Amino acid sequence: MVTGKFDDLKHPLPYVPTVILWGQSVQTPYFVVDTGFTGDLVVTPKIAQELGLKIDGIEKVENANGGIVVLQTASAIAYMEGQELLVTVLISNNRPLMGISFMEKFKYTAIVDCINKTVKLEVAEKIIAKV
Amino acid sequence: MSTDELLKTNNIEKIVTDGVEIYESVKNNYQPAENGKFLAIDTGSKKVYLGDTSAEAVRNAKMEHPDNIFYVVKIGSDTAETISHLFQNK
Repeated sequence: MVTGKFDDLKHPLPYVPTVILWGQSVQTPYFVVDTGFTGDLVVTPKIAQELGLKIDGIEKVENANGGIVVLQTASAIAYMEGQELLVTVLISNNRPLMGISFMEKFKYTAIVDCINKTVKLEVAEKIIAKV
Repeated sequence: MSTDELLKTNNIEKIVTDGVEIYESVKNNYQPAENGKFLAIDTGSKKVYLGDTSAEAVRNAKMEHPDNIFYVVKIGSDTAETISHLFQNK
């Protein structure tokens, strides 16, 4: 299970830590769990540069207003609880975001507790086993 | 060639324009059976590479073109991803 927290007092949002690797570089940024984002991850150009990510794709992305933006993407490895998977990272000057595709790849269920201001990512099979 | 040099040589606008054109010419080979999967399009060779995810499509494309930048699209859609109001591209 991965445990996160609410942060950003102005707009309290659920953040969870995620290990990203590329080559010899490793970072553990906090990502907003964003069920409105269909992809894997969004990171800032600064994080992408520090990790040494190499641009290998261009994607058109539809935003909430129905507008379309073009973003550069890179491949990276995400490491969660002993599992390493190849993910697509969109690069933008935005909050780091974790999307639906990322949680689907790692078979995570997101449990957001707005009362206690906590967020947990738990492997779906383990939740079923508890029931 | 570095990524910056590659982007200057093949500017983003051209990759998108050529990628959209190639996708329009091949999409009937994939729709609707492969809707929801991804294509990575090498605009130079006009070859397309299928994957269940965008990462997989790009990985397949990089096996033949390790240094290229690909136009990536979700089959059955005009865009690759949708992003929420939390996204503010600056």
